[in-house]
Amino acid sequence: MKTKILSVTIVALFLGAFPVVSDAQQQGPGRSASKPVVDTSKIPIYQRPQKWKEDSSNVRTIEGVVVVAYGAQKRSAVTGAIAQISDSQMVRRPVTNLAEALTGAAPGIQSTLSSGQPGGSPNIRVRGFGSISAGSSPLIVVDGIVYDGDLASINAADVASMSTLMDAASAALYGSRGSNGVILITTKKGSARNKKPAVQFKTSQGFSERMLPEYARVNAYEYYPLMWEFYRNGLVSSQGGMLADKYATEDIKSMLGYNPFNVPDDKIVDGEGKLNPNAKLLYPDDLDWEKASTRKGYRQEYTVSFNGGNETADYYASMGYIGENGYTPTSDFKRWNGRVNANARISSKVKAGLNVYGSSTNTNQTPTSSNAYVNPFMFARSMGPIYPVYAHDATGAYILDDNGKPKYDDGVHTGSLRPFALGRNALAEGLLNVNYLTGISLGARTNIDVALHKNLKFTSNIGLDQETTESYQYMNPIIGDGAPSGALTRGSDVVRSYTFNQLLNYTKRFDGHNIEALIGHENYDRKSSGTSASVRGQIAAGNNLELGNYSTSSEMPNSYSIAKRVESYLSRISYDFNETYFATASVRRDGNSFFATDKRWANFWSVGGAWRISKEKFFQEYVNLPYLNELKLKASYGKVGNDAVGSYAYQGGYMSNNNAQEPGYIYAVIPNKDLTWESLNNLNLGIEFSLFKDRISGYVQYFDKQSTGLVFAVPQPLSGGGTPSGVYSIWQNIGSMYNRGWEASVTGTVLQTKKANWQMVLNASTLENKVTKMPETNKEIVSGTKKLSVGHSVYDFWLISYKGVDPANGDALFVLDPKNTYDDGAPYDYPDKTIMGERYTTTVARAKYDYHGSAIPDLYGSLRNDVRYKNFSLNVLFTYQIGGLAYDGLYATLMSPTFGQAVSADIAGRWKQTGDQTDIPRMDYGRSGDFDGSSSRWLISATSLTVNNINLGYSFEPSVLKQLKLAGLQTYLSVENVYQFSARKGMNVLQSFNGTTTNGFVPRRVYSLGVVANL
Amino acid sequence: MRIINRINILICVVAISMLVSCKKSYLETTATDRISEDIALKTTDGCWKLLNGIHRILYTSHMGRQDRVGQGANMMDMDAMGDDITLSSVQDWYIAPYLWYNTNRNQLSALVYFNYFFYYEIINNANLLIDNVKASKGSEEDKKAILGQAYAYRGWAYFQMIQLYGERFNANGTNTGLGLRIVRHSQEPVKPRASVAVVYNLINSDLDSAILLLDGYKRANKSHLNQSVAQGFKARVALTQQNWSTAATMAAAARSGYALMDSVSYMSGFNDNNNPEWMWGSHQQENQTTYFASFFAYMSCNFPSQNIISSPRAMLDSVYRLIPSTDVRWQLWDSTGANLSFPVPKDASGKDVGTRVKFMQRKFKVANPELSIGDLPLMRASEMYLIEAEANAQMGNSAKAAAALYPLAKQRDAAYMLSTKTGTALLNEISFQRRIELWGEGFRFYDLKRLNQPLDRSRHTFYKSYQKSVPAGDIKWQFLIPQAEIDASGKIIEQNPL
Repeated sequence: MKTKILSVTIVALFLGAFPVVSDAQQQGPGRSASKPVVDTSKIPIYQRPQKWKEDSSNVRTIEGVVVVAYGAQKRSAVTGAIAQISDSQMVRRPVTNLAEALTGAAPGIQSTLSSGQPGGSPNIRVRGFGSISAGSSPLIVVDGIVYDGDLASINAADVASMSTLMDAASAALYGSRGSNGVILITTKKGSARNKKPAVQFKTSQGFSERMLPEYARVNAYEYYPLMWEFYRNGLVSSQGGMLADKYATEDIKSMLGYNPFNVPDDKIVDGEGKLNPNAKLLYPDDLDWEKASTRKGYRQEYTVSFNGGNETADYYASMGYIGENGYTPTSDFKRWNGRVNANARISSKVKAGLNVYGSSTNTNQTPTSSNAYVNPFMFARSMGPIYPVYAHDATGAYILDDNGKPKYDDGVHTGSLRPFALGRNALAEGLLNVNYLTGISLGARTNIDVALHKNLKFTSNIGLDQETTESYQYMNPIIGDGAPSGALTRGSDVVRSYTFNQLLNYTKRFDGHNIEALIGHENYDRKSSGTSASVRGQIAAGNNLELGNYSTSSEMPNSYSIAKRVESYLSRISYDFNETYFATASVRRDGNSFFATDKRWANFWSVGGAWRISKEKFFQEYVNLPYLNELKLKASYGKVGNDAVGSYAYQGGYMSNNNAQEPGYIYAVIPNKDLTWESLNNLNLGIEFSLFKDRISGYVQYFDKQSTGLVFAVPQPLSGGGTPSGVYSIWQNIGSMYNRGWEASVTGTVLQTKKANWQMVLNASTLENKVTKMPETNKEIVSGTKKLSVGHSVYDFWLISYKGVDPANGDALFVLDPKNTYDDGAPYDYPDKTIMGERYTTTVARAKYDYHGSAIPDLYGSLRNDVRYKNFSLNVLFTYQIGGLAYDGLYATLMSPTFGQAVSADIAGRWKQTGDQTDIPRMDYGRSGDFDGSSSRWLISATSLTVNNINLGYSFEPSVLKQLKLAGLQTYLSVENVYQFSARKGMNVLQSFNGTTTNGFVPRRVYSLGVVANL
Repeated sequence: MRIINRINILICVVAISMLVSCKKSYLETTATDRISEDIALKTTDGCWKLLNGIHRILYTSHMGRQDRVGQGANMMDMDAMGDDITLSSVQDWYIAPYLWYNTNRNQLSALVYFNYFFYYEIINNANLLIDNVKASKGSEEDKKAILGQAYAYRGWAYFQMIQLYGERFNANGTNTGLGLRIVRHSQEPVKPRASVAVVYNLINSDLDSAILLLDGYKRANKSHLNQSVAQGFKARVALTQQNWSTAATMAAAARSGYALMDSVSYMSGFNDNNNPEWMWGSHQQENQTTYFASFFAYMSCNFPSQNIISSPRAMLDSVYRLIPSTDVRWQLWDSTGANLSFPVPKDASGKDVGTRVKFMQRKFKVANPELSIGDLPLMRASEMYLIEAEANAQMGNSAKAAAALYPLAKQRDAAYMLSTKTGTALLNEISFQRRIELWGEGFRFYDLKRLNQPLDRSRHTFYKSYQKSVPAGDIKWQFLIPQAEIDASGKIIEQNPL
C-alpha cells in the first residue's frame, strides 16, 4: 500500500511539473501526422515525421533511428553503445535461427558456430563473459517485451531490425536482467505509403553438407602394426622384449577382435610388428563411417508477405515455411509460421496496435551428447579403421537380412568381437530410434497509445508468449540402449510468459532544448512447467510412440513447475540541446520473486552523455577540418544486474527419495537466504566519426564492466554431505570480475562510381577478462581444464605441464610437483627423473599443475565486404580471432590409442627408438593413461578465420520488371558457413567459448539459390 | 474544449492507477520440487522418511553415472580390485579399478571421489536424524528405532571408508595415521582428519549405541537395519581390528534367527531379499532405476547390457578348481565357457548374443532380462558363520572354528566333512570358503587389506598385460583423498602420502 501511495504521488508531481492547460486546444484534435508540419519542435515525438526508407519488402524502417529500451532514438542522440542490424543485412541469407544473423554484426559480439542440427542456434556473448556460474546469454526482447521462447521460432523475414544493447546507458532499463546485454528484435510494420498492398515472395532452395572435415586418422593398413606396437610396449615391463614381441603377435588379433584382411588371424602381423605384405582388405569400401553417417542435406524456404496502410491504419502479414533435411539422416527441421501486425489510429489521440504470431516446429534431432554411443559423430570419429559399417562374412561378403539388405555390423554377430562399442552401431540405432520434438509457439503484443496532452503520451503494452514443446524419445529393442525391450520417453514442456507495462512519455522542445521523460511500471510473470514419463517393454512392433504400448514404467513420471515474477518501476530522462549536447539518465527498481523477501528489491541506474563536437561553432570556424563531417564523444556509466542464478536457491529443503514403496526423502538444497542478483557497473567511452563526406565512418569504444556479487556454486567439503548428483555446493554472491576492452568499427567506401560500389566494414574487439575476487573459503575452484582464481580469466587453462619426451625411452615427461618428491630408486613403479637438472615425473598424479594461457583471443572481430557492380552484388562476411588457445580434447582422444578406436595420423611422429627427438611419447598400453593424460600437451592455437557467408546477387532491370509486372526481382546464390581455417584440420575452434572441443554436431555448410520478388 | 481537458485528466487518472504496484504477494513464489526444511524433520513420521531416503541412497545412481550405483558400485570396485574376479574385456566399465590404474591412486578419479562422497552423503543424512529425532514429535519407540539405525548407518559408512582411505588397522600398532574427518552433526565446521584409531573408536561407539537402541525393534522389511545387522557390522569391524573374540561373539549373535538357504535358492540368482539367509538387502523396484544404473547391469549374467554382453564376470580358475563338484557353488561357474545352460544376454529375437568365457558366472541373475533390477545382497548369515570361524581359528580355537564353519559348508556341500585342520591350514580352508561363498559381494579388496595379503594376478590369463601384483602393505592399498575435498575444505583436509 505504501508503494501505491508513493507512486501516485510521484506521478502527480510529475504531472504538476508541466502545464496541463496546453496549446493542444489551439491545434485542435483533428491534426494528423501526415500533414506537413513545419515546426517539429512543437510536436510530440511519436507524431514527428521521420525519414522513411523502403527496405527489401517495401516495409518501412526508420533511417537514422535506433531501437532502444522502451522506445526509439535518433542515432545521433545515442549516448551508449548500441549495434543495430537491419533487414537488408539478413534478407538474402538462409537463416533458420535468427541468432545466426548476429554473428559478426558488430564488435563486442562473440558467437560460436551453430551446430549443424537444422534450427540449431549459435551462442552469443556481448562484451565478454559477465558471469561465472549464472547465465551469460543476452536478454532477448521482441517488440518491446522480454521473449522467453526459442529464436528458431521467429521467421527472419519478419524482422525489421535487431539492436544489441551493450552498455549500461542502453540496458539499464532492463535492470536486473540487463547485464549480459540485450538484443532488441523489432518486427516489420506495414507502410502507410503502400495504399495498394505490396506483396513480397521470397524463396530459397539449397543443399547442405558438413562444414568441417574430419580429423586425419590412420588407415586400416597402418592400424594393426600400430596397435601391435602399443600392446607390445605395454608388455615389455612385465615380460621383457622377446616375450612381449611374441605375445603381441599372438594376441593382437584377439585384442582388436576383427581381422579385416585376407590372411589368417595369426599371420596379420609378424614378430616384429610388420603387417603381412600379402594382407589385402576384405571390405575396403565399407570402412568409411563418416560417409555412411551423412547425406546431402536439403533446405527450402518460402515466405509470402504483404503490407500496406494509409493515414489511419497499417498492416503487415506474412506466412512462411522452412523445410530442412540435415546432412545426417536423422536430422531435420520443419517450421510453419505466420505473423500479422496491424495498427490503427483510432482517433487523433488514440493509437492501438496488435502484433500476433504463431509458429509450428517439427524437428528430428541427431543425438550429439558428446560421449554417447548413439552420437554418430562420436561413433564415426572414434571407430577404428578396420571395423566395417555393415556385417561381413569370413570371405568379406555382405551379410544380408531377410529383405536382402546388408545388415549393420553390431560388433557381435560376425564371430569376433569388436572391442569398441560392442553391440552398438550408431547408424543403425539412429535409423531405428526416434528423437523428435514438436513445438508450437504463439504470442501477441498489443499496445495502446493515448495522447493525453500534446507533450504527454500514455502507453500500455501487453505481451504474451507461450511455447509448448512435446518430445518423443524412442529407443528400439533391436540394438542399443533400448535393447532388448524397447523404451520410450515422452515429455511435454510449456513456457508461458506475460508482461504488462504502463508508460508515460513526456516530450518538450523549446529554444533548441529537447526533453524527453519516461516513467513506467511493469510486471512480468513467467511460468515454466513440464511433465515426462518413461516406459519400457514394447509390446508389439509399430505404434511405438504411445506410452500405453509398453509393459512397464521405467521411472516414476516426472513434472516440474517454476514460477518467476518480476515487478519494476522505471524512468528515463533524456535531454539535448541543439543536437549538440546530449544527456540521459535512467533508473529502474526491480523486485524479483527468485530471491528472499528482504533481498528482493534493488535499484539499477545509468547516466550518459554525448557531445557532437562537429556541431559546435568553434569547431566549424576554428578547427575547420573540411574532411571531418562528424565527431562525437560519448560516455556512460551505470549499474545493471543478472538474475539468471537458478531458481529458488534461497529456499532449502529435502528431495524425494522413496525406498521402493516406502515414502522417503534426503537432504538436497542448502539454502542461502542472502542470495541475490549479480551486479555490474558498466562504463562505456566512445568516439564516433565520419570523414570525407561519409566515405569513412566508424567508432572506437572502450568498455569496463565490473561485475560484483558474482554467484558461485561454492563447493562444500564432500565430508559435509551431498546429494546423488555428486555435487555439494551453496549458491553464494561472492566474487568479482571485470571485462574490459576496446572496440573499433570502421566502415569505408573503397570504391564509389555510378556503376560500382564497394563498402567494407571492419570490426575489431579486444577483451581482457579477469577475476578479482574469489570466495574466502574457495580461493581456487578447479573445473575441468580451468581454474578460477584471482588474477586470471574465467577461461585460463589450468593443466599439468607437459614437457615433452625422454629421448632415452620415449616416456612422457611432466614437471614434477615438488610437494610430491621422493627419492629416485625408491620402490615405486615409475621413479621420478632428473634431466639436465630439472625434475620430471612420468605419472600424471605426481605432476605439477600450472596456468597455460587462455581460451580468450587477443583480438576478434569480423570483416564485411559489400560490393555492387551494375546489377550484381557480392557480400562476403568473415569472422576472425587472433590469439588464444584451444584444448583439443577430441584430438587428445585420437592421440591416446585404445584397442578398437581410431588413432590420429599424427601418431606417425611418435617416439620409436632411443634417441628419437619428438613431442609424442612412446605408445604404451600400460602407460597411456599417464602419457596421454590431460595436460598442456593438448593445447593448440585458437587463431582462426571463418568465412561465414558469401552471397552473390543479381537485381533485374526495371525493363524486365515491367514485362514481368513486378516491382522488384532479385536472385542470389548464397553459401553459409563456407569454411574455417584453423590450426588443425577437423578442429572446430568456435564450438565453445571455453576453448574445448567435444563430439558435437559439426556445423553445416548451406548452399542456396534464392529469389525475392516484389509485386 | 474544457470537456476534452476533463477527459484528458480522467485518462491521466486511469493511467496513474495502472501505474501502481501489484499486491505484495505477487512476488511470493515457492519452489515446488522440494520438501521444506521447516517441516521435514519435525515429526518422527518425517524422520522415518529421511531414514527411508537413506535406504534408497544405497541403490541410487550417483554423479549421473550408470556405474556409480550406490553401494553396488563399492561392491563392484572392491571385487574388481581383488583377485577372485577376472574381467574378460578391455572395454569393461570396471577395467580401471581392475587394473589399479588411474583410480585409487589418482585424486581426480571417479572411484576415489565416489567412495568418499557416497559414504559422507549417508553420514550427513544420518547426522540430520541424530540431530533432530530427539526433539521430533512422536513415540519414544519410533525415536529409538530411527536413532538406532542412524547410528548404525554412520558407523557402517565410516567403516566402509576408513578401510579405503586410511592405512590398514593393525591391532598391535598405534594406528595414528590419517583417518577421516569426523562429522558428528550436520553442517558442523570442517576439522582436520582424525587418526585411524579415533575413527574406529567412533565406529565402535556408534555401533554399540545402535545395538542397544535397536533391541526389540521389528523392521518392516530387510532394506532396514535391525539389531542383528548392527551386530553384523560390529562383527565385521572387530574382525578387521583383529579383535577376534568380539568378532566371534557378535557374528554368532548376529546370525541367530536366520536360516541358511538351500541349494535351489542358491542357484536362483541372488536377487531377492526375501531369502531367509539374507540379513540385509536393498529391494530395487523397476521404476526406481535408470536403464543401466544397477548392480545387476554389470554383475548379472543375463541382463543384456553392453558390459555383460562383452565382459561377463568370471571366477579365478585356481580357486574354482578347488571346489568339489558336490558343492552347489561348483555350479555357479562354467569352467568350459561353452555350457549353454549358463544364461547369457539375448537379443530381441531371443538369440544368445552374450560372450561366453571360461569360468563365467551365473551366481547373479536378473529375474526378468528386460529389467536390470535385483535386490542387493548387503549382508547374509553365511558371512557370520565365516567370521565366527575365522575369528576362532585366529585365536587358535580350531575345534570351535571348524564347528562354526561346518553348518555353512555342509549346507552347500552335503559331502562336506567337519574340518580337522588347524593353524594356517584351517585359516586357508576358511579363507577358501569365504572366497567362494562371498564372491562378487564386495569383500575381496577389504579382505586382502585387512589380512595384509598381496594381490596376486599371476593366474589372470585373459591378456598378459593384466598380470599385476601389488605387494602386501604397499602404499597403493591406501586410496587418495579426492582433490575436490582438499580444495573445498581450504586444505584443512590433508592428502594421503602420494
